[in-house]
Amino acid sequence: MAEVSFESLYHQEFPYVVRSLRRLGVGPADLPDLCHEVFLAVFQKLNSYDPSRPVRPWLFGFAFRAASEARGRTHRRRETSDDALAEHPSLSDPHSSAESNLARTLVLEALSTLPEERRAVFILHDLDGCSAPDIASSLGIPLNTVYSRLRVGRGEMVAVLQARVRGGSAS
Amino acid sequence: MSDPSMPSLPPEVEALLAEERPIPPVPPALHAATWERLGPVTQTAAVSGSAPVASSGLVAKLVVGVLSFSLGGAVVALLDRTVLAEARPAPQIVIVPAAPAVEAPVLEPTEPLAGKPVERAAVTPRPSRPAPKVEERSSAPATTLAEERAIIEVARTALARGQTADVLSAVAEHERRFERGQLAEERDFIRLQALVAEGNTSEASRQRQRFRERYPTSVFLPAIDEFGPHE
Repeated sequence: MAEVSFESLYHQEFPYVVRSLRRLGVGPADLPDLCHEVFLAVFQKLNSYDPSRPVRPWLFGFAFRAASEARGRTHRRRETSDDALAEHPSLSDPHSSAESNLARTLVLEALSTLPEERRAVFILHDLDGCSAPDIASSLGIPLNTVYSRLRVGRGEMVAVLQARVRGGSAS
Repeated sequence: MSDPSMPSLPPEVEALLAEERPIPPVPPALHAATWERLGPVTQTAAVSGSAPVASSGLVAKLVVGVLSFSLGGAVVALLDRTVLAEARPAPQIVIVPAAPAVEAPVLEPTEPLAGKPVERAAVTPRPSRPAPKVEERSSAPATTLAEERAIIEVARTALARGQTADVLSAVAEHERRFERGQLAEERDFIRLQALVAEGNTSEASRQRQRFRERYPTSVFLPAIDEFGPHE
């Protein structure tokens, strides 16, 4: 079984963790602290990771819990939702078109309307392409719960995004 | 892969999601600064020659506590300016008891990491087990922890600059105010490093023994065994 060094995992998957945190509603100002927290936890638990298993759902579990705990800190400075959701210039892909960045912002906005449990399931399934069993393992929830959250979450996302698209077309 | 039993999404929604799926590059400054913040932990493991191991919740709180505020502001500033590899302004060492020392970044000029080759893990999908829980957070008042963080960050910054007198001063300040504080283990580790750095072997030996007794399961133990002094 190939060993996974923390350093290689960090450098390889750092962008994924950043993106996952953004999708989970973490604003640019909180990214440095949350990235640090996630990888610190990853470092401490790395010996429990099986390299033959997909790494991203495993990492997402850390990101989800870190983001969830961060939301619970009432004393932390929070950005306005608009600031948190708008794609920060330095976080935008410089090679992406304006339309692409707008689409990303719309998706982040729509994700922000979902409760965090359904949001996590939707992200893993419809953005990361994870299987339902991997999602269940990542989030530590029963498989049936994955499916139920996914069904509801997808319905909510479709409704919100279609409304945004129609609203954008109408304006 | 996603579950094939789930129905397809409407095309216009699918088109939006398709734009979001690619993982964009991250600012190199954020990538490098986070790696640097992890340094104290990862270097400890490297010194010991051991693979990362699960450690006590106290250490997690310690390191998160010490570092979470200290560099955050600096990195945000870097994000805003998309600055990479620029020499940082010399941080001022000031004990700020009531607020995080965000003006005292310990960032060194960094090299871009974007082009750094990484080894890929052989990862093939198979049913995975539950991810571990993130360490529990402390129930201590945030203000107290913030004060501890501020002092420890002063000590850490001084240590990075080789100013051992300032390190020991900050350590003494922390010990006076938070003898059994949440960051006491980090404080004692920093003190030991400073004593070794200034060549005070007798006191370092004493503090090393004390550290072993107080923190018998500390992840810092392999590191302090490495950097001596040895009896």
